[in-house]
Amino acid sequence: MSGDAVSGDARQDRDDLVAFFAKRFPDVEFSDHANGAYALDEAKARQWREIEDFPPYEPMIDEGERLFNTAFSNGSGYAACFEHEGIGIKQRYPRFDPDTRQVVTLELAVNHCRELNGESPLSYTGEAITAITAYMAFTSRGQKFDISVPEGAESAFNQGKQFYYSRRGQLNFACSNCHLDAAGLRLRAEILSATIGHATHWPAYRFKWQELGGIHRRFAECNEQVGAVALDHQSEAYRNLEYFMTVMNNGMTLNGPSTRK
Amino acid sequence: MRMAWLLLILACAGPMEISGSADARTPEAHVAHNESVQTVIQTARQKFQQALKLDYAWRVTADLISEAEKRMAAGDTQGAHDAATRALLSAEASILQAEHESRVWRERLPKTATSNVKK
Repeated sequence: MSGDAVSGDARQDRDDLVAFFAKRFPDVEFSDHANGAYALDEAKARQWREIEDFPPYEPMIDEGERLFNTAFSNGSGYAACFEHEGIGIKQRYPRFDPDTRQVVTLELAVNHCRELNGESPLSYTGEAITAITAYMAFTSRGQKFDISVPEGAESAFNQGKQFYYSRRGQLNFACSNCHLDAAGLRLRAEILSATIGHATHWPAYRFKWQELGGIHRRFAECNEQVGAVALDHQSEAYRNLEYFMTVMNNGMTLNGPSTRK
Repeated sequence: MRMAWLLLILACAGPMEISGSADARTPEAHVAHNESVQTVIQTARQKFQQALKLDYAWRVTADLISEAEKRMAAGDTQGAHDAATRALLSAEASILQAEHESRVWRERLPKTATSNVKK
């Protein structure tokens, strides 16, 4: 596991999950879990790889690149807000900001950049922010996740962890009920993916949505499926959840944007 | 497991019967009954807001409150009472779920973990 600044508990949590899934799926390499449920079914993986040859999200990457490179009214641009001019940095998001003591997702950073430059923030449910983050993810493809949990971030990390393991909604399900306890089993025709690898491929083009969407959209959908009232995209609870889940991906290769059923 | 059964029972609970028939009530009793239903709706709303603050609200609660309000507006006091009672029960169950989960969530950590006996 990379990331020297990962607290001992977070590292242990990640190692425990890796060990759990190594035992559950002895024939699946750790790195293959970046492909989600496709790591668990070769026939579905073949279909998925063929879709990825001509991916339906490709035009959105182009649109994201155009938006990313469009100057703000003050002449500045997104590149000025990020290290390495915003290219190849997605694997270090979300990150913990010690000044605000908040988890900063890439979407939040994009809007923060806009506001710093006098632009209005983009809607977290809109196409523009999804396209921009899709382009930024694309430039990070092949990089390994390296999310740190520095001193002061433990609370946010643990809140995300608690969310993941807590039952909610009228159906009384936790994220872990499906993606830990029942990982590899089927819900109707679908195979439930493993917890590790859940944050590698966002934004994702889900065929159910017929468009790209971010990981918070998926959180909201999962919550609604179990009968809970979904939280707002980029709410503190969802950002902490994304933080926990991405730390669990540390060492795994970023492969977004991607497609999922 | 007991918690799961409790929630399942509450979630599946059908409309609650209340004694007497609305048609047989005196005008005074009818007004009192309407006020009682409004109180149940209001209490359900308050509990729902409480669950929202905990990030633990259930969708069905909002649906049932809405249904109770619509039935009340249509003069269906009995139907409004049934829906409001179910809304209140589901809101209370969601708050109970939040309290319960804050205590037991660590039990779901992977069993291979050596670190899970602590905390």
